[in-house]
Amino acid sequence: MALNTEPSNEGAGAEGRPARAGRPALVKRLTPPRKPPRASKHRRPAAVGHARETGDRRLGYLLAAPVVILLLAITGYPLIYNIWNAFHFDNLSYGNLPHNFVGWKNFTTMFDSPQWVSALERTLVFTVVTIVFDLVVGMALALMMHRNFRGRGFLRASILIPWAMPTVVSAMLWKTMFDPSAGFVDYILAAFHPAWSGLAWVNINVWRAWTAIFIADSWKNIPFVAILLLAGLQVIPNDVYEAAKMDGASWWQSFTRVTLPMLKPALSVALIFRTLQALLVFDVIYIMTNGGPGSSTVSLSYLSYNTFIINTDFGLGGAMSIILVLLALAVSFIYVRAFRPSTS
Amino acid sequence: MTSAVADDVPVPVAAHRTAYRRRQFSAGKIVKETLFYLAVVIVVLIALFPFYWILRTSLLSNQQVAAGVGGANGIIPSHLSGVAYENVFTQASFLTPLLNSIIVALATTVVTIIVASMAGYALARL
Repeated sequence: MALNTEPSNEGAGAEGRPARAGRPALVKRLTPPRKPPRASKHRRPAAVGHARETGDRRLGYLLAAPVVILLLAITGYPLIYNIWNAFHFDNLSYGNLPHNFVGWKNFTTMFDSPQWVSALERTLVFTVVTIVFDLVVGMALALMMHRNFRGRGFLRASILIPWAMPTVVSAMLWKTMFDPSAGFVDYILAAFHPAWSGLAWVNINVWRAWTAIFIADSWKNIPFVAILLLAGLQVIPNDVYEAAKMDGASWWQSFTRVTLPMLKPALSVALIFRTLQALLVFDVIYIMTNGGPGSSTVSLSYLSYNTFIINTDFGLGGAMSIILVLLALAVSFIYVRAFRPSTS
Repeated sequence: MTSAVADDVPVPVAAHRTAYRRRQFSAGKIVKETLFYLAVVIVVLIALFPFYWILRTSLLSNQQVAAGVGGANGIIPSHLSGVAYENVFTQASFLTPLLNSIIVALATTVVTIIVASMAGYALARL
């Protein structure tokens, strides 16, 4: 097998570079030797066992190194650089980058700025409204897709299609749909009431702009929730429903007492994913309204992008993204604690 | 895959179905079924109509799009033209972005699979 040829190369490397002292914990994690069925397949007699072990460790390092380096380069480095940014004054519009250390000044500026506070309010309201709406409608769709009826495959396929599109594409799509001349929304609304024709959705009225964003976002993300919940529904055994029926439970009772509690794992996953996505909402807003009208649809992500990239205020922008990351971490921590299985 | 699992399980739906067959003339059942299928149709329409609309708009000429929706350019336009598809290849610089996308897609696929399978092997086997 190919497995047997590798350690010989690695053995040579192992002699050249003695193992460093600080690593054994990581090595142990990477190379758990307690897997008898697999390990025995390519384990040699005891005489070469030791060399074999170090060879495996070397190979483990070597194979895991690219991923670790890539992750450090594309996730770790920007994160740390951003933390550095947040504590310095760096603004390209001043002509140069002075790199002045300013302590917490960026954070106090941010908390004092009405723009940031209102962006926070908007983002939180948007998050609450979207997760409630998405979970309720997603639940209904999941129940619909779970029912056995003619055309169920077609229903499932058509619900999946919006989910399979990139957010940028679905945002462009809905921007076109809400366009007064190219889209269908105004045309269909005009059929109900003549005053509803030619409404400009995206950049005139705050509420209409938010409605458009909300619809585009839900259209794309409700299918995701529905598919997750459908998967959760499918693993609920049938006996519990039969038992509930025997006990004379109505549909609503068996839904709230059987389905919902047993769906808890799927619900918590859907809730965490949707909350984080909604908290960090950016692309829908960027494509559809560009933060307008005025700055009434600016979310936290959008404000941070605007400060960092457009105003080139790297310190303030960095502080904003740090707070956003902390917010997301806090929310996921709370969820994980709240949804921890009570049985364990 | 998922549907296969569900099909194998004789769920309450099956029981419900036989019950439906037995009492076929129960008006309440018929109304319920009708409402259910109506809901399904609405959901499918909401999910798919934007795609139809994009297809419809792509088959109109610029003048038709500028004229707005209505009249001959209604939900089902009376006159179609493939001029937009011609323009994509003749006027807009469509081929370079297409090539760029293909290059990016291939490169990221190759790099990701190599790097991830190496790490996956290391984590699972060693």
